Amino acid sequence: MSFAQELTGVSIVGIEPLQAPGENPVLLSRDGSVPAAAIAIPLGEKLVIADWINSSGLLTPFRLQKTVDGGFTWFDMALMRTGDNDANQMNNETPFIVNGGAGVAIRVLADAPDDEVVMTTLRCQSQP
Amino acid sequence: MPLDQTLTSQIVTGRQLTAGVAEETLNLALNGAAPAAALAVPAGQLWEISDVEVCVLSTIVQLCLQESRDNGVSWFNHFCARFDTALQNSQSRQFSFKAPIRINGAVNKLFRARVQTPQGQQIVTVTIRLATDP
Repeated sequence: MSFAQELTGVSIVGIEPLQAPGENPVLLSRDGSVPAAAIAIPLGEKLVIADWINSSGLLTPFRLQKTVDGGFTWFDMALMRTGDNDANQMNNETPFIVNGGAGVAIRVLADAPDDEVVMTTLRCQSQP
Repeated sequence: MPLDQTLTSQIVTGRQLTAGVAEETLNLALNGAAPAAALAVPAGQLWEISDVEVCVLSTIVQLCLQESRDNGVSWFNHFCARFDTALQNSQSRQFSFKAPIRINGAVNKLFRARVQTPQGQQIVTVTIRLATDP
């Protein structure tokens, strides 16, 4: 076997101008699905997040968050800040592993000025 | 990604003077073939894109790598980034993925790159490193 065929590549990407001041969720699309404020990880799936790339036109803090209670509470998985017109990449030797379940979801928050376009890319693999 | 005898290294490059400030498609050449606006990913083949290098002279550049599953009617993003080479004391930037972009080939499956230089015309060069199986 060459590639690890049992793993599926997953792209989670958000690109949008933030519409309100303060910290807001970046609408995320998983492999072209309709963008949503959070990506649910269904029971039985293991999502492995290895890379996180963020860009913004202005200094912007980003948070990668997870919930296990359907979005009632969220906790931080990773924090990042980008500079002006800068792209920052986080490569993790130990990737984030999210075991799916009822109420399990991930989201990305960004705190950028009104109408500033932010971009986030999560490079993932999933099992099965 | 472990190297394996069944994998083939593929070379995808694009070099283009952008038309202006709007987003446009970067023509890509696969292994030296004539550049095209989109590359077909044939059925039975698996693409694994591990690295992207972007070179542009002292300006802001935005790059998105996209896939279509309906022969170009609709596209979705696998990767997007925007940065200013003038601010980074380097005119090139590399992104390497521990979780590479995987595209399973099929009829109507296409891959393309979209670029934007919002400060005006500029030459953009992109190198995409990938392996295919078989």
